[in-house]
Amino acid sequence: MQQTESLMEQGNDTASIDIELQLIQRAIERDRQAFHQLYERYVKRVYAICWRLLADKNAAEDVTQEVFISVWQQLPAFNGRSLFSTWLHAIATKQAVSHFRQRRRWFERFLPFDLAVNDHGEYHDEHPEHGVEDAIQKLPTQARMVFVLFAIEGYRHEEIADLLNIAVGSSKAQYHRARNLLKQWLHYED
Amino acid sequence: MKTNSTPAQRECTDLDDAIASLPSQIEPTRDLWQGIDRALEHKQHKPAATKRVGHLALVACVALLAGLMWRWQQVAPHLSTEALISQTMQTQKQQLISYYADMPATQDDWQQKLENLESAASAVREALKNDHENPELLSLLQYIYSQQLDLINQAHNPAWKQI
Repeated sequence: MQQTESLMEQGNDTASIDIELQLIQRAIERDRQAFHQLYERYVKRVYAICWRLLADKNAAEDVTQEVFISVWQQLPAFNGRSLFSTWLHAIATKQAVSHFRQRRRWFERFLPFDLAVNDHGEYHDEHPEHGVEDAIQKLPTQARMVFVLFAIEGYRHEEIADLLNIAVGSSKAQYHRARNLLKQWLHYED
Repeated sequence: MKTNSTPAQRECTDLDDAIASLPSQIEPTRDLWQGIDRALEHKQHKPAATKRVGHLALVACVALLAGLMWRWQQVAPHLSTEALISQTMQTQKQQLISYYADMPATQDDWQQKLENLESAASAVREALKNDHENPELLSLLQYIYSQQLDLINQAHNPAWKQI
């Protein structure tokens, strides 16, 4: 029974990939309806990346729109060597980081990079059912971005260092800092 | 299994479990397709004209700012830097709003965002009353004003219209 279900799932996956390839091809030929279907498939995933990296609903929504507009423009150059989803996630991550950098350039003269939260202060979880998610949002900016990229999006520290223009050692240090803060805030030691 | 692990190991496992359970998808709070579709539509039909409008608006703003700064320095040399910047900004903002009066906004909440920025500017102006020529506060005020102009431009003629 399990084998049958597994085969059915595989069959569905294959069908889904075929449909996606057709949608991509039609979108490359400038079919907006096909692109809309691709959008429907991936908007929540792209938004999740943007929202977790930026910790700002409005900015995440704006960047999500920019990502899809950018994808539409770059689609004719998509060569299919990687999965469409992988390609799309890379664009979303770069766009979110780029958005953050542009915004930061102005503020960095006035505020320290990590002013978003104080490292030693108390964290009060107002929504226990979303404990980890909310706690991640409350992390200091750089620690949050490194943590999201490493622990959730699966990037390597070398890639993160390159993306955020920081040293590999800093990326590792920020990741551990984020982990320790999360453990402390969420009382995982109990 | 967990009962045999050390507290440190348990801690890591719990956090990793919590992270692994996070949803990979999150729904935006508003419909984003409308704006994207408009951008794609716009790009297909009138890219050159919009790009020109954007450039003209930018050039007009810069020229107006330079002109007004020069004029105020002539007629009101006694004005503080803050007053000079604020007056210039107010004029520029009104000009820009008038300029876009006939264009529909692409963001529903741009006026609310503008009010938020104005509140921030107001707080900085208040701080400047105690420290008139503080360069960091003046820079921050200029930054907030430039954000207001960007917002007005972005709400009526966003970057995607210029792509």
